[in-house]
Amino acid sequence: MSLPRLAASLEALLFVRGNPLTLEELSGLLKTGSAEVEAALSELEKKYSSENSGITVHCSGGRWCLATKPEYDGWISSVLGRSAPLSPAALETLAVIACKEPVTRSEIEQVRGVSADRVLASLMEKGLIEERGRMDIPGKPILYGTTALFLKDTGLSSVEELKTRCMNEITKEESLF
Amino acid sequence: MDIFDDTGDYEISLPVFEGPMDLLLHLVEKNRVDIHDIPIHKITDQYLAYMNQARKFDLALGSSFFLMAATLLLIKSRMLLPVRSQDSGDESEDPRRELSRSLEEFRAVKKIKLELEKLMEAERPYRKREPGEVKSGIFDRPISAERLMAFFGALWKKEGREQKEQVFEAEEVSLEDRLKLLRSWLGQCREGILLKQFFLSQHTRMELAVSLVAVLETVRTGEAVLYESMEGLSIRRDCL
Repeated sequence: MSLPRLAASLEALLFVRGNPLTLEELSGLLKTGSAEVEAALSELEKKYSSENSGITVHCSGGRWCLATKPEYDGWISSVLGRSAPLSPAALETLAVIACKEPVTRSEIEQVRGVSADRVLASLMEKGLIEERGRMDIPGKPILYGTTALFLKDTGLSSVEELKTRCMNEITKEESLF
Repeated sequence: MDIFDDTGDYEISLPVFEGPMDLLLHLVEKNRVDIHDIPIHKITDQYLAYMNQARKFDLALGSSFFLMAATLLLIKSRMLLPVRSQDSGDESEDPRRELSRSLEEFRAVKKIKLELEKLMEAERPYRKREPGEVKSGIFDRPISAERLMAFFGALWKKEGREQKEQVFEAEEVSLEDRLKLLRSWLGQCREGILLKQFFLSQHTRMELAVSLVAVLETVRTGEAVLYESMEGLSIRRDCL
């Protein structure tokens, strides 16, 4: 397949697919090498940047998808509205869940020292966390974990990536002493 | 009219904390003390001082703040007791150990929280499409739950007879095992496997039942899709 055709197929694929795809997945679906896919991706990137297009190919956490250009965010927000950023309590709870998933409510509360009822409900509603079955102890408490939407919103490839990011930072700080 | 005069000359700035751990970590960091060697006397005093101030300003503190205050006082009183070296193992443990462990964990969570905030902030301006209804099974008819049930029911009646189980033993079949098995099947035959084949590889009713749950689980997570092939109901890894 010629490069422009490959780039067009890639564009179609990314359009149909809402969830971001890795380079590996893309090359599997397009039945071509990852070097060709990369060339096609940069071809697309070039096209979007030169055409003054409102969208672009975006890579986060090693996954590619189509996204609006950040410079249009202000305009889109004025039309469609902007989702409110998470409250500190919600972020903190999300951090605990990402750290220790799958995790029960009481474990979360133990770490934060405050009740997590309402925060959990709002995180569930936003689709950032989900139930992951129940723990096999008396009371069968619900286990919580993060969702694919969580990865999409943070641009992480996996929860493990978040942990290693923070671990690296901690060791960096410790080595300062 | 005096009310304004009273409060006019000074400004109140009392930081608001998410919870007792938040406050405690703030105090530890403000005093620049080692998390493993907390001067419990000093920290407890400052903690209680904050609570007093909060009460003055009518700031409603949750019961969790009081619980932590009680814990701090308990630790403080334990520290006053002479340490007897002959005490059995956990008795002679530093009463602050549990506290420093929780504080350390909370500090790590705070780091992750900041990282998350940064990541989400960076990702926010890139607006993406919601994943639509279009899946890899775009050209297949979706398989209804009734179809799967009828299929499984027939198999259950026909093949699920338990001839091999004359001796009754408590049988443990874990979902993880069956999931592992199904995943290895799916990994080996990427073009898909016949559900019947997979189910027939199971020997007992229990295994059969758990296998069905495994199939449902992979479909639920989007790992695999059910589809109708020439030979019958099949399952394959969702490549998209």
